[in-house]
Amino acid sequence: MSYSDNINNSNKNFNYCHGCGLCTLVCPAWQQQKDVRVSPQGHAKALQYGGKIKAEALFSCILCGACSAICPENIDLTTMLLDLRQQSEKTPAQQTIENDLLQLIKLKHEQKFSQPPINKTVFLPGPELRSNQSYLSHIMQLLNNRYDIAIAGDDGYDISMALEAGVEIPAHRLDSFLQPIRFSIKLIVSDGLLIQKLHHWLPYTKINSTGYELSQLPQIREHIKDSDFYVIESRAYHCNFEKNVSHYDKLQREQFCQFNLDLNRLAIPTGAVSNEKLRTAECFNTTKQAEWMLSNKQFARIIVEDMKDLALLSKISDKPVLHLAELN
Amino acid sequence: MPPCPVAPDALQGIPRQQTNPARWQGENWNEFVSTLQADNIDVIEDRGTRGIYSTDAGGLAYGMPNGVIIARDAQQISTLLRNAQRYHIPVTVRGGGLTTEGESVAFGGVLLDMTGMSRVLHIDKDTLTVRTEAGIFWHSLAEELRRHNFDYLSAPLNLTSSVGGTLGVGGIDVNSAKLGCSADQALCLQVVTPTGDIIECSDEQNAELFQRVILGYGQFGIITEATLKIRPFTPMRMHYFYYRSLRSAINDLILLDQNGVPDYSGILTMMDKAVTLLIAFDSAEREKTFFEQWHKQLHGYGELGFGIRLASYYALHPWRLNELFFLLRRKHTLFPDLQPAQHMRNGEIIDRTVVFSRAVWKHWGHKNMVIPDLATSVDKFIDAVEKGNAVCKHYFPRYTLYCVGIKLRAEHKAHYELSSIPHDAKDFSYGCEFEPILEENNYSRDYLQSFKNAIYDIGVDMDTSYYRFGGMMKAYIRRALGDEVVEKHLALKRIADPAMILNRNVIF
Ligand SMILES: Cc1cc2nc3c(=O)[nH]c(=O)nc-3n(C[C@H](O)[C@H](O)[C@H](O)COP(=O)(O)OP(=O)(O)OC[C@H]3O[C@@H](n4cnc5c(N)ncnc54)[C@H](O)[C@@H]3O)c2cc1C
Ligand code: SF4
Ligand code: SF4
Repeated sequence: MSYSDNINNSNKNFNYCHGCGLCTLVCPAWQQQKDVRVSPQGHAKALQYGGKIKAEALFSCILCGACSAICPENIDLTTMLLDLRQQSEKTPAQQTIENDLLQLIKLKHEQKFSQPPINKTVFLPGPELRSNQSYLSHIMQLLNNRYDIAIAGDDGYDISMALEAGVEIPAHRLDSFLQPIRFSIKLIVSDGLLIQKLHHWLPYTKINSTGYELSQLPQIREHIKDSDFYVIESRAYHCNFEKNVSHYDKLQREQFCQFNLDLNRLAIPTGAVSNEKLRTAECFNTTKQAEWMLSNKQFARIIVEDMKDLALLSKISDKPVLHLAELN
Repeated sequence: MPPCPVAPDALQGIPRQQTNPARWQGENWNEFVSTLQADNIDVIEDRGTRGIYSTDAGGLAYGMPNGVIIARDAQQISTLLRNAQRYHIPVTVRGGGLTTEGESVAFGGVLLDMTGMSRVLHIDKDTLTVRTEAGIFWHSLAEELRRHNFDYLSAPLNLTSSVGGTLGVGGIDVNSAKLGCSADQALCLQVVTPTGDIIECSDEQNAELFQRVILGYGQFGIITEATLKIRPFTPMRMHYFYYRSLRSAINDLILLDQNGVPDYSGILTMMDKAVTLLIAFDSAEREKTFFEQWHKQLHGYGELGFGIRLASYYALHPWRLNELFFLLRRKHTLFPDLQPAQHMRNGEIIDRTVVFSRAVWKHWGHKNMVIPDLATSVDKFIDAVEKGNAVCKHYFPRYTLYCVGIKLRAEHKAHYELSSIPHDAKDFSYGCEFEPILEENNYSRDYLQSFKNAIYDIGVDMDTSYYRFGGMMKAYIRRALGDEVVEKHLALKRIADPAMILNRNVIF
């Protein structure tokens, strides 16, 4: 087995699965349902045997990426899961989401965005940060200390939503999204799922998550305390696993905080970033998942990288929950 | 003969038939399923789901169940087994499916997936015990225990083996020479008998059932819950010593184990060219005692000393340089994986099972896990390893031997009957796994099987036991362990399981 050597660019598909079960072990969807049919192992083996995978099983998955990071065969399981979503027979509710998304994609394609300058680091903050101007401007300020930074007009959230919903993205929309950022020096992206695909689409561009970048800044790091429970955004973390493991391990050694990492050093997700409208409530329960993440952990406050984790954890924890950017 | 129930349409127009008329042919299946469904038990019959369980980690035995049931609780399993007795339907139990001889593969009938029962029920900090459902992976158990700063005692170096599957076969860890096999940490069990009774058993309560179920290969009941000993979590201080000779490394291993020196010990080799003795400690004091009192008695070298000896050997045998390159490459890739920064703190390994299990999959993992083994008494061990080593050499250019001791508990003697623990072992038993490094080479199944048989034949000749015990190597059990003990257990099995439905063909 291997931690995927870096970014999972493997061409291996489900055919290569030999059923070791590691992806099942670490899969939050499996952990909740204890039914191998919701895990990548279940999908891969079923496909090998000519079986069909039910949409309900596919959409139980929160696309956290842990399975891809641990697969000893280095199968790009996230891509497999996204492809299967595209091929699956959608429920009426999912069909409605698909239609709405196609509308949104059309709108986004027609919208004229300002072009970020070529030789800059470009920040794709995502809709949650955009709708919270105070956080956004503060993060921009922080990142400006380190980079010559510009904010992207288009951060492709419609594309990310389409990926998650299993909606095929029209080539012209993908082009209109990628064209302005194709020659950027570096991208800082909040959406973990998008990061995973951007690694494939723009293989020569440096891409980091917002959490990774903020947690690099000394003025943020120094405020992380040993009594903090730090929640890493799992999608971004797993898609560049090797690098992220070292980064957060170093942070742990310096600041002594706890992380939402399991014994494999995979990030335990809350699932808050996933689109719950795509699944039925019984499939995956984010509150239950977040409670498990925190269970029997001793800490004074929670630090999060993602705005949706901020919202969810603020609801269920009686301890203060802060976004990383608030540490400075 | 009716058509084969497993793949009736495998050949277009030519219904396949079972060639073995003694085998279950699918009789009563539909009635059985209807009865279970009436009891709200979901029998999954689609081909995709059944395919998930078509083989085990060995990847050499293939079989399809007619239906899969995901275990949810003891009552559900009891209903399943009562009806399986009534309709004579074979039931194969599976935990992690990490067997290598097809023991957890269903050749028709029901495959019961125990991983559906994976909850930790209670951690008792005062008595240092945990009560858990038995389908749980050891790794998931460790994950929960660590949140309370506890650890289990010993478990296979494999993230996805289950508690129930391991208690049923034994379980060896690198601390087994100190703490015994994994099954030794079980204090009591909830078992569903083959006739569907739900029984709590231990050495004090229903002792006979307990003794048969522990290391019993799922013949006498399905373990649904287990109470296990636990211990405070400690990181591990690891040391390596290198040898050119298997014999002297094994002698040193036995010396240290018998004197209770290390907390963890084992031998890992690259062929018989680089033999590494691994020893580790739970505490600085024990480590200090080792260096003060025992270190000088060892015959192994440090890395530099060994490197010089290896270099001189290959200087005199230049036609074997390929082998040297292999050793260097292996060292270069394996050693960093045995001490990855994220799992180390202050020079100590903090997640030993993760580190070792992942290294096992990465460096030895393959779609065919071929790991025949020999389990012997202390006296026979060196001979057995040397004979096995010669077989490995004959079959494969690259291979590994993994040797580890198991401390035997006099009070558990009854557990060990008809098991991987050799009948003539006293105080300690030793096991050696013989593992070819298959890499990208494609060996035929016949070749791999022939290799395994050659190792198992050594066991017959030397009157030893095996850790991998049932399934495809069932034929060895009687030869190696003798008629008397097999007949005794067969008679017990016939009483406990009148229709012989539970894990049929694994041992009997
Ligand atoms: C790469 C690799 C490394 C390994 N390393 C080790 C090691 O270090 N040490 C070691 O000891 N072993 C090792 N093994 C062997 C394997 O891990 C053990 O045999 C393991 O304990 C089996 O557990 P399991 O849950 O996979 O059981 P399974 O393979 O699912 O089942 C084992 C047997 O027990 C029965 N069974 C399963 N669950 C139950 C239950 N709840 N009640 C009753 N019977 C049941 C099954 O029918 C079967 O006969 C290794 C195997 C592989 C492939
Ligand atoms: S992405 Fe996460 S939730 Fe989805 S299958 Fe993989 S591990 Fe499970
Ligand atoms: S981790 Fe990879 S090889 Fe193992 S079961 Fe999952 S998909 Fe298959």
